[in-house]
Amino acid sequence: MSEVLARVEDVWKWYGRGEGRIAALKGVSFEVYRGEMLAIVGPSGSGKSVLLMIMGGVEVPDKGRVVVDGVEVSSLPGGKRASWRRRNVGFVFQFFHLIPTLTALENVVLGMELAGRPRGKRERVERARRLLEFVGLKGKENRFPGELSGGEQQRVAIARALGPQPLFILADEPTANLDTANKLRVVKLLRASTEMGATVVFATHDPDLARDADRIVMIRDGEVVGEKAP
Amino acid sequence: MTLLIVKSGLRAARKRRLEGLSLAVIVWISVSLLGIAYTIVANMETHVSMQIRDRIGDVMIFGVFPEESIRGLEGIEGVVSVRAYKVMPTASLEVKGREYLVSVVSSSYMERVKVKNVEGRLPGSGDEAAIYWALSGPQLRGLKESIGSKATLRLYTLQGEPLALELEVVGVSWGYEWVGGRRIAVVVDDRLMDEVTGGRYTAVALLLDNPSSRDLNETAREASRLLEAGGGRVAGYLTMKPEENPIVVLIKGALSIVTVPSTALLALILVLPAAAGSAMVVRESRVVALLKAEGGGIREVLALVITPWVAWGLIGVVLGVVTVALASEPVYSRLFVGDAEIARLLYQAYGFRVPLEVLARIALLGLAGVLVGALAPLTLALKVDVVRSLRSAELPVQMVPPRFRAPLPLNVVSAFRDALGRPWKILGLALALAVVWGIAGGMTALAVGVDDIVVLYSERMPPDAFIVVESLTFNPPVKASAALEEAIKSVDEGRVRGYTIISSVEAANALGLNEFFSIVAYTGGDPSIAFPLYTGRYPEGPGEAVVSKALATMLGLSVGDRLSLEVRDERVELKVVGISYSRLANGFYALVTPEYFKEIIGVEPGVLSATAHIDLADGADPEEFLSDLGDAVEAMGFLAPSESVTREELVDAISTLSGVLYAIMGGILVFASVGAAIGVAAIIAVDSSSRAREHAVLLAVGAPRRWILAAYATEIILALALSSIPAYLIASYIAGVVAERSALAVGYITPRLEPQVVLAPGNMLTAFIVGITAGLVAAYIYLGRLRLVEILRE
Repeated sequence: MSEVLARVEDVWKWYGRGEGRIAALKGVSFEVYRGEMLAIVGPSGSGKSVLLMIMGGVEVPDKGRVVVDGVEVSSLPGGKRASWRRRNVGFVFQFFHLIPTLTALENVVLGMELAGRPRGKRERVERARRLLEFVGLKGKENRFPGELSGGEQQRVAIARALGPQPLFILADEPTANLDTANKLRVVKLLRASTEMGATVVFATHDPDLARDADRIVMIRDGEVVGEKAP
Repeated sequence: MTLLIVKSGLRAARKRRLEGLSLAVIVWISVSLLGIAYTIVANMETHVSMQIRDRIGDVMIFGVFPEESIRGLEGIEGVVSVRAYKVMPTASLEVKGREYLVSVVSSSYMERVKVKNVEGRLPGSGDEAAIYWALSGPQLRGLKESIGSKATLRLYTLQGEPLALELEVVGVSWGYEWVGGRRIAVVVDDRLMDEVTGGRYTAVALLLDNPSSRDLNETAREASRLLEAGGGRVAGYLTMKPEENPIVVLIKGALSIVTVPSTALLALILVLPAAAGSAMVVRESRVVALLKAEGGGIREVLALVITPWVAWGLIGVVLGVVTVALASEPVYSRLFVGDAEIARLLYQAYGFRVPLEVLARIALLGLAGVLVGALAPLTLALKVDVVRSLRSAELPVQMVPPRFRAPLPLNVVSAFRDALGRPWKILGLALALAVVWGIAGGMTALAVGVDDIVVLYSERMPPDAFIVVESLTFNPPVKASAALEEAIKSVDEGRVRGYTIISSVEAANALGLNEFFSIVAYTGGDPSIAFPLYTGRYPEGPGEAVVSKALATMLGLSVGDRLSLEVRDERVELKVVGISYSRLANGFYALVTPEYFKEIIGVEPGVLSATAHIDLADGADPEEFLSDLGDAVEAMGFLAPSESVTREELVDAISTLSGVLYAIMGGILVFASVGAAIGVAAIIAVDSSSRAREHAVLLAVGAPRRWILAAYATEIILALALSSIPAYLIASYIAGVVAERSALAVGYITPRLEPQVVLAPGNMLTAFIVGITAGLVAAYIYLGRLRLVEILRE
């Protein structure tokens, strides 16, 4: 657990212009260790989502840098960042964000197809079936998102994120839109993902949920205000 | 509550600038094009009718009338004015080495022509002349240089004496109308005209009060009786009812090439409210749900959905109406009058009017299109599930897509499912592309039809040479047809393989189509030279006729069928015994025997004019032959060639028609393409915005933009495939109507409506390029503007 997978160094992010300019992140720095489950905890509007998007290479910081597995993601040009993201990051969102016109199985295959990993189509479909079985959705492979409950959709999203065997999974409030039973199930799945070799970073405003993490980074008003073990 | 919703809808209209402006532009283009086209048609109709009425009144009687014979005409019931003219309809003018067939009028007659420009002056003495021509192309503008030249005018007096007058050209004049029934007229001094006519009049025009409620034929017959009773000799008469005027119908027919395809543009108006509106309801379903939760009923939902579209549609209509008001006159002046000064005089004399009633109808049609299009999003809005949409972040009206499966990439499969799950979007795209493909297809169907005629004349149809001769005197020493036959034989020298000599008269509105119909008699030679048979035989007796293939196709006639005509107030029943390839002018003709011609027309054919179609031997030069024949005809003294054309020139003329057709419809196609591109771009942009989260997540997980663009390309290709059916229908409609209406002007062009012609790859490619370019550019721009972090957090 001691090997550093990602390093966030003095990251700043501003939104807006002139007098309306707001600093979403103010010099955030911390490290992520390979194979750990890290919780970023903070109230709504504290900058958690922006931080996750910067770590995942969706956004770039205005100042500072993010280095993942030796690659300075924050300085990669747009196209290369997208290509890096395809292979190295799995996203899980609060509102699931599945593609409504693809079935559960196809949504999982999609992540692998974009990453080109595994190479063969048959292998991808096989892996997608195994992942859906892993998240407890065996038999529902051919359902469209509109035919699944919120909890089921989130589990498909986790399977999609795991598909291309990314370096880490970034989950933004993955349980905020779920009932208690599904919350627990999703957290267990994220934990199980680390056992499959993934590093998981999830953002939440719920301190109770963070208890299941290996480590907690606390953030408020765009600043890291502390780090602790749960 | 409804008023509040309308207010909110108007505010929403301000926000939805992209789709709103797109709709406004489409409505603007459609209303402007149609409005300008109909305004031009209406004004041309008025100008032609009023000028003709100015000249011929409501009734015009031709013949030779002494002064005393016309005195009683004012006593006829309804007659408010009688004008008598001295016009010689046929003379030959030689000036600057060229010869023209002209009419001859007096200075005082010319002074009454309102719309004309004069350079130099009108003649003031018997040895002076001015030359007038109707604006009809640049070829006559060369006559301007004839001022100061000597000209020879050859004509016969009403007494039958030949005259050859040496005159000095002291002025030239040009205007909008034909004078004396010809494109070129020679104006001479009134005293000279009196000498030529012996002081008698050749035409009398009667103006009636409330002519539309009168039987003009009865008035003409009564006037003819009075004129003959007074010592005049009546040769014939014309009646003038604007709604029955073949010239007006001819113009309307020709302009239908513009008006009919423009009508197809109206279909584009439906596209945006239907397709983009549906995508908006998906995007803004929570607003609809909230409205329903607050107790809003169908009226409020209707107001919410349609208000922004109606607001932008109204802006488009206003812009269209303003454009029509401002642009119609310059377009008409430039394209249809061709001379700024003449245009000014024309409007001064007869006015220029934007027909408000027509414009109002077009505007209402545009708004109706918006309302009908908005029914699609309304249907969708009524389906919004209030509970689901208010409690979750899902798209509540996103139905479960169809279970379409195919071994294709996931983005393509997804695109198919999306297209099938959102039929309004795909139908909207298909309709937009169908308009482009349909106009291009209609254009091809007609152009290939014209090409068929070109091939027919190039390869199958004689004549190699074609000549029309006219007698300069009313009492020729021999019949014109006999003289022409003699002239052909005199210049034959082994060059002539065969010929047909015919004589024809025009009957206005014989079929009841407001057309010019030719009754043709062959008076010499072999009829198969001018009228090669497609099927059947030539007429041998009374009541038998050969008709053109074009007319037979248009009216669905076969050999053995009967054709009923009204010729000079008499009903004539003809039996079709043969169908010929020949088109002869517009293709509206019946070829009959000379005896039957005389029976139905009342005069012997070929006396005053004759036409020869000549097939030449291999190696003979048609131009040289026609030149020799023209000289031989002129040498007879009383005959003058009025038209001589080689087969090549004829083919060139038809090819020019094809070019004009292409140019006009190509112009409309450009407008349609712009409209369709705006429509497609707006639909894709709105669709992108309604699927912002879907696209954001794809981009977040690393999908390249081309992955999403490929999905849109798939949808556009699918829409294109679907558009083939409406495109074919639009093309058939356009080609069918244009062919039928323009038949009166240029002859029936049998449109080639085979799917492989109409839906040809070239036409499809036009629609494809418009669709794919507009759609992908819109999607690319939209994807570039997505704010991923904000969208993914919501």
